[in-house]
Amino acid sequence: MSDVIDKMCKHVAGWLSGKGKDADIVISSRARLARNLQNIPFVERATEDQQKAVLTQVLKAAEDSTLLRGAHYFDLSALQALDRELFMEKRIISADFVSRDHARGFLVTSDEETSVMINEEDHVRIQTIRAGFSLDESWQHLYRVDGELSQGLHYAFSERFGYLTACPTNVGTGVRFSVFIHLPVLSFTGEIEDIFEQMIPAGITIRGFLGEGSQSIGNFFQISNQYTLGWTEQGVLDRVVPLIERFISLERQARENVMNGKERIMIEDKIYRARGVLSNARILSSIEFLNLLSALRLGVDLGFFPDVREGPFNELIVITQPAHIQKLEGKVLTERERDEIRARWVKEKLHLN
Amino acid sequence: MLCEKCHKHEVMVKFTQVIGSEKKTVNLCKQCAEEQGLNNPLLDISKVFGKIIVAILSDHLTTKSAQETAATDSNVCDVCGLSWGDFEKTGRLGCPRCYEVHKENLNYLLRRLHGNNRHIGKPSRQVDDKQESLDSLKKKLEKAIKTEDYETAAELRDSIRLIQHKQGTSSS
Repeated sequence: MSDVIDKMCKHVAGWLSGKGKDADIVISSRARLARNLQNIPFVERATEDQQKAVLTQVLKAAEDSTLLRGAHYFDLSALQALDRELFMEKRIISADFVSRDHARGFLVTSDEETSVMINEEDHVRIQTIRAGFSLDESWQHLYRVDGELSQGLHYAFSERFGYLTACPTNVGTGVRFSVFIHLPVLSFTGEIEDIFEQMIPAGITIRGFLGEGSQSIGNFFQISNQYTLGWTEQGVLDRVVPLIERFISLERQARENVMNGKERIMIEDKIYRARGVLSNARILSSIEFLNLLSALRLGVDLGFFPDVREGPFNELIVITQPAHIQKLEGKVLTERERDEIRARWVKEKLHLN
Repeated sequence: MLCEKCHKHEVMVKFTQVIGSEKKTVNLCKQCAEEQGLNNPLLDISKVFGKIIVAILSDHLTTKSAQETAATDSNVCDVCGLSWGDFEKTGRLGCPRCYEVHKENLNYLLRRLHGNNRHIGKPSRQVDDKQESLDSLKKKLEKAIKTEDYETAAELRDSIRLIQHKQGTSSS
């Protein structure tokens, strides 16, 4: 199994490719489903035998799924702490799943785009992540995986409440769509504050860094649906997608405005400084790195640096996380040692000098 | 301003969550932001804000009369033993049956969470995808009979009859 993990450690998941629609602004698009088996208490109140029964049933159903053919299965109790963290950094499993301690495991396809967590908060959590702005594609794929998996399983379902989940925030469709979106100029100009105040419709959740006099970490925002009940899956998608499109067009507009306005020199200064530090730093903390990368990425988007490829940006965010650095280097490292390696890898990957 | 988690260091980041028109911000120092996983920008970090359910429930508690509370809160799930009080602490229900037992209390909460309390999304397989599942059920039935697994076979036969019955009523 450790061979498989070593291989996966070096593998770059498809959703990190930086390709796809609007990939300069939207990093990734994820759809996930929450499901529970009939007649078995939810994970937290299930006995160990019941939890094991869930594992057995779901794995059996997965064997008959063509879309999950060739997927790797990992029993969490057999994984070392660092390996668990690695899978969390890869977004294959959740932080919550890592910290729990009962019968649980997960399946992941070789492209790392689809995974099934068994006995997280719900018996079954399935997700598909794709690069760029591709919620439709992610959802279509997930829908098919769900269809196949449900052939062999009896899910807890009520006519009134839909698919029943441990937490009522997921009940109904059990679907959560979410994207990570990079909004450096809206953050820089402070427009993002007003957008947060005025533009967010009911049923949508947005998270990110705001606030004058405070810092951002990488200028990323997460947009997802709050509602799962009383809406069809498509209805939710039709609500989330236009909002994301609006963010994309506002960010593009803000970039254009800033490039043609008085503040251009401020943005340029920020971008060129970022390149300077990333090219010369010997020690890079994760937070500093993420903020500089955000500025460099903007510089590439604006055409300042034809010699820097945007391709490895997303990959760098993941491989410079603590577990990835330690697995790739093959040893346990202190925070300072990791900061040194991070600084080196950034230069190498981006060919900065 | 001092970090609201450790109350020791200066605030570095203000992490904000907006749900519809409700805005919530946590002010954290560098250390606490890292501890909460905020330095991995591609992770789900909703738990920083605590459970939305707990906030809604404490909100509701002040508006409910003591009588109402006593009547619905004494219900205990006959399958998993979860009381509404247990739920208020954890924000998690115990089993599928809880949705029936605690229906009264859930109606309010679900309306607040989703603006709605009735499912209109994808029906479960037993209702949906009739043709596909009918075929696969028939195949499974054949297999069950061949392997002399009569218990499964009986179950499958019931499911097939149910679907055929439903199809009959929907097409007429």
